Amino acid sequence: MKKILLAALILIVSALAFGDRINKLVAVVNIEVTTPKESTVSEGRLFYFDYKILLEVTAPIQQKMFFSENTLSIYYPASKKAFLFRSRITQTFPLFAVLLMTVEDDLGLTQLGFKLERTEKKKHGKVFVFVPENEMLRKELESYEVEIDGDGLVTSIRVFAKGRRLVSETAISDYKETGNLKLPHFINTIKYDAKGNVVTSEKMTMDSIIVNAMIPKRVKEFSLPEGAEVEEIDW
Amino acid sequence: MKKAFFMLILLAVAFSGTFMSAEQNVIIMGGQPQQQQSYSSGGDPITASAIAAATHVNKMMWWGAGCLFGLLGVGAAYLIEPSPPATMLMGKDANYAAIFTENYKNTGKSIQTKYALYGCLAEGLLISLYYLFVIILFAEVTDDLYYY
Repeated sequence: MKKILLAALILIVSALAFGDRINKLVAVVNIEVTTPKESTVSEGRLFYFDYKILLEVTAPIQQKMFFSENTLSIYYPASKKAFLFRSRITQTFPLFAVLLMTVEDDLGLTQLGFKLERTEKKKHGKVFVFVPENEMLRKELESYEVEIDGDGLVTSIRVFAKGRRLVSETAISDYKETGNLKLPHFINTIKYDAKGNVVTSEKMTMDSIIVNAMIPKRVKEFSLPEGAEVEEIDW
Repeated sequence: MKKAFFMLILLAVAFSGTFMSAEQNVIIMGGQPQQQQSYSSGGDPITASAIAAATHVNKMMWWGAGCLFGLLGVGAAYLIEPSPPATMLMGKDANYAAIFTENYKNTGKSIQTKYALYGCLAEGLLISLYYLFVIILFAEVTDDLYYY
């Protein structure tokens, strides 16, 4: 339930955040996912348009990941094999959604039913503590703590479950001017289990971000090619 | 009598609670880990998916569902399949993705169903204790009336 709520929350925020500020975006990305057992570094290009995301992974393997509403498609051009995940909830790419949240003054949290409970002054900025007003959210989440530096840039987001248990913390840095906006080029999310052990660490480094860029036709019209071996999975 | 009843309730809750606080053993399903086979993107998908599912599935929530909704909660736990996080499949080949997805789904479903069942059993135990208390109370009251 927590995952469903968080995923819905992130997607709604990204939709709200994306609103008038960023309609389309293209970026070169490097994503490192580390678990206690292994680490995988992927490189590729990310396209964002019409609330959809196409992630063209070029290394270590050719892969196309397409997030669209309730479906996630993963296509392997080399073997012409694909997985089509149909979910009851909207599919999202959390690392990228965080980037979209940073362009909103309050990460869009107020519109999502969070209220600002208090502000704490820190040495180099402030921490804004948001708590859920929605009863269903309150059962899962205790608070969102957003740290903003002296320049008004979001530097970290910490999510706490009931009992002040740290669920995840996201460090956001390397802000650069991109169009009329200042966007972060490095996002690192660490997720913890109930015992406080690190479960995963997800780092996304972005380069060559172009806001409101022209999206190639092949990307806009992406679909699984005919003749591909598709395995459909309903969640 | 009231004291004994509440003590029995506490025991029932504690009994159910031991399952939840027990070590979160990784459940490896879908056959033995294929240590001989190497994947182009490295790592063992069966172990990775089992650990991921054990971590991501909300055990408390499913225990609560079993407790509140009984067998309906258990049924829902069996039918609702958890979805793996997309980042875990990034950079992984098709073979890895297939095995990871299948095992994540099965392991997650197994954990959900297990904890929903624990919740259901706890609910059943509480209800049984309640009826036992009522029967004992009734017996005592009727005994008193008899002696009068």
